[in-house]
Amino acid sequence: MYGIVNQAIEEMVCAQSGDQLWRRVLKRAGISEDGFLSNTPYPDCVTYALVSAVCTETGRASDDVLEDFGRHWLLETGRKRYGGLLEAGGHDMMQFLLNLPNFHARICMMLPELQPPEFITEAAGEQSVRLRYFSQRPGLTPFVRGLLLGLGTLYGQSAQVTLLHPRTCQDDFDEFLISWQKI
Amino acid sequence: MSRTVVLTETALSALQPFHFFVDDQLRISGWGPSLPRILPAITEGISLTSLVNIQRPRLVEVSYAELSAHQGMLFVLHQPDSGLLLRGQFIALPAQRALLFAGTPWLAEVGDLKKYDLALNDFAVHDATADLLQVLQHAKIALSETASLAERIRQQRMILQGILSTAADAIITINATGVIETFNPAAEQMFGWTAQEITGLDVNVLMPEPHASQHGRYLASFLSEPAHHLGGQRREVMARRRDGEDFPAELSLSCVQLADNTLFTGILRDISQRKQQDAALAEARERELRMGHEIQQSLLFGKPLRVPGLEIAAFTQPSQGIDGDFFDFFPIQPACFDVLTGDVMGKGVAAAMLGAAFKHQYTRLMTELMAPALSIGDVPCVTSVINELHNRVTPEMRRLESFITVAFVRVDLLQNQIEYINAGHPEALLFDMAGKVTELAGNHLPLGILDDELYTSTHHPFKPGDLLLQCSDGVTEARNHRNELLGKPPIIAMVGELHRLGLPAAIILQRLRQLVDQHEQSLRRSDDFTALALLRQGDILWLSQEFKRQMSELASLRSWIREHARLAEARLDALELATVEVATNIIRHARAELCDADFVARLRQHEHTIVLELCYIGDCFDPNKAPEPDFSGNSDGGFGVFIIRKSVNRVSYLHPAHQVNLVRLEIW
Repeated sequence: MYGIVNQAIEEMVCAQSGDQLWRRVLKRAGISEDGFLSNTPYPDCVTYALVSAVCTETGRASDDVLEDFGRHWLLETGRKRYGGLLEAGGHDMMQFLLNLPNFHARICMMLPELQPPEFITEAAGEQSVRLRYFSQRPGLTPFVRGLLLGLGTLYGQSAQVTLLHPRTCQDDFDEFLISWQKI
Repeated sequence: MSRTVVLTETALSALQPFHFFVDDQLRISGWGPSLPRILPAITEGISLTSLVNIQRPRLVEVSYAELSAHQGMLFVLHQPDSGLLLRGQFIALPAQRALLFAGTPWLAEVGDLKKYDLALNDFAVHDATADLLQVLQHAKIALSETASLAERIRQQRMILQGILSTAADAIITINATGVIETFNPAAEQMFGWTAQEITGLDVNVLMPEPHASQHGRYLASFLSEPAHHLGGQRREVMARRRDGEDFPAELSLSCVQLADNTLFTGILRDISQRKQQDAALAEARERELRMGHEIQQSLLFGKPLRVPGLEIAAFTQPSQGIDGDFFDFFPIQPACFDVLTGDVMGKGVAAAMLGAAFKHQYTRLMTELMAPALSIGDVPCVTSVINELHNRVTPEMRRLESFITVAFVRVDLLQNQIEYINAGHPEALLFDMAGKVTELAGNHLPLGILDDELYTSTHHPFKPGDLLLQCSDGVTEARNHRNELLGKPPIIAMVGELHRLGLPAAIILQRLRQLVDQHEQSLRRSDDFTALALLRQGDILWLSQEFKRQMSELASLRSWIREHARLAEARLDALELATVEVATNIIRHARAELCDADFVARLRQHEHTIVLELCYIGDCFDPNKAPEPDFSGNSDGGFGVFIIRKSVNRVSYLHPAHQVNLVRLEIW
């Protein structure tokens, strides 16, 4: 994964628990990187090791940590790093979600080593979208859930995310139903 | 080939969301769904020029004809209120007398999206604007990180520079070929080279030979190992300053593997001053120990008395440089004297001080007791001496939580007996000429423990030929590497044998020392070693003297011979010459583990004959292996043995016991 993902974990840990915890996370994960570079690819195992270390150091379950990370990614890292691009994903939540596949398609071209996931979205009502999530990386379903919940916050909506169909194998997909209403 | 394509409005809006149509009067007649976002004033029929200015291309006039004529050009339309630029092209639709503008807003940065209230989905999916914006953003992030990294590197460099400039130690880096790359100010000062002069030179200019010549090979060998690491090892090396002075230094080395290079960093500390200080300290300590030893010798150990018919040999060696063993002699009457040996509990200076104080108490007490006793024709009673000593020292010993083991012997040669008190000390051993060995045991506590301990003595015969041996527990309790005690039996066996052979008391003690050393397999004492040997001469009366194995003792040896040997002058000269030759050979050539041990010269005078024996510990000497002297002057050697043979009437080289050698000179 690209360094921006690991940076996001660092930012989340530092913001929530301080630098000292982050140093302990790095040590536990066996990583001696003196900071990650956003556009540099790193092995996936680095990211997984960091998440695992965060879980151990905080005593939290991995699903919780990943969901938190997804929220943080969208609301903090994404907003800060991508400038207004994230918020310009659509004028409202529906547009953003329907445009989400195009966003990742562009990333796929620009950052081929990232191997970004693929999303397929379709409107399921006036304020709901059915989203399919395809990825070669296992175990990140809670992260996507966090992203979607964060998206609701970004657009000032109260979002509910339901996992309709969990993936059964690497070639399978997770299917979510996202619905929202104005807060 | 031309083709007619029918495009629905929906399709056109999807493909070109920012399109608009103008008629031949340049009035707006239709537009794409995203256009109102950037041209909010757009309405049906409004004039194009009231919405935008045509920035490029330069037109003669803004007219349908002009626009049609410039179809192949990029048009840049400028919205004056927002400043937005719309770029695209006009396509003529002659049949409708209209023009279609197909274009897209020009956004210089991501922030422009928000500025113009645009979202990515306002653009056509195929529009490269979104791609461009994402690329721009990534580049911006990369630039920002690069700047941040550069700043961090700059700060780290400043910190490193600060460390290098202020470090007291020399810090030198070299590359894989041994070329110096950095040389900090401390290195400049240490070696006398400036960084500018030395950077680029081989680091071997900072080393003396043979290291300078070998350094390249060491480096190559190290680098050839697949997983080389230095691990911050520290070691002492010799370094060379610019002026050629070599000096000792302590070197720590580390190695960093970079992508295209290997760098070695050496941190050096000039330890020449420390070495000098260490040497001075060692010398001072050695001097102190020597002084302490000499003081100890004078304070704690009395000089053996010279008593006709008696050889007294004494040896002491503390385990820690200075300790609590002591002995002393006190003359009572002619042929009667006391021997006090003791051991203070504990070790080191404290024990030595207590021993000295106790010895002083003894001397003082004897002085107090002697005069009154002698005035009535008596001598101080042995038990009175010890009991009074005990009374005097016990309070202080109790306060200091210490005690003293003591063996007290009154030797009376006229009465042929000894009176003996043992207060917790190792038993003395009494060897007689018949081979009987008596252990003089005691059942008293050491001095200084119980207030009401009453010491009593035992009497034992001590006849001509008998040997009394008193040792400290450092002798009998010497342990080997398997922690086994030496014990008394091997001591009794060896001493008994040497006594039966009629060897001098000093030689017996030296063999005892060897026995303990060999048992401990070390010359370093695990406990104090103190031994006294009192040997009554038997039928054969010798005059004996110990001499150190030093060439400077030869003068004393000559004097001793001249003083005691009664011979005609010429024969005396010959005896002296032969004796000195033997002594020289002993000093120079006799090898023994106790090369510091004295040799013993003893002399027996008959009416017309003198027998002089020199006895020493060491490897045996075979005179038959000595070469015959070469008078041609072509080779040395053999003259000593020749001189000895020619000087005296008879010379015998004897080896009465293991490691015991005796050279007997007879002259008449």
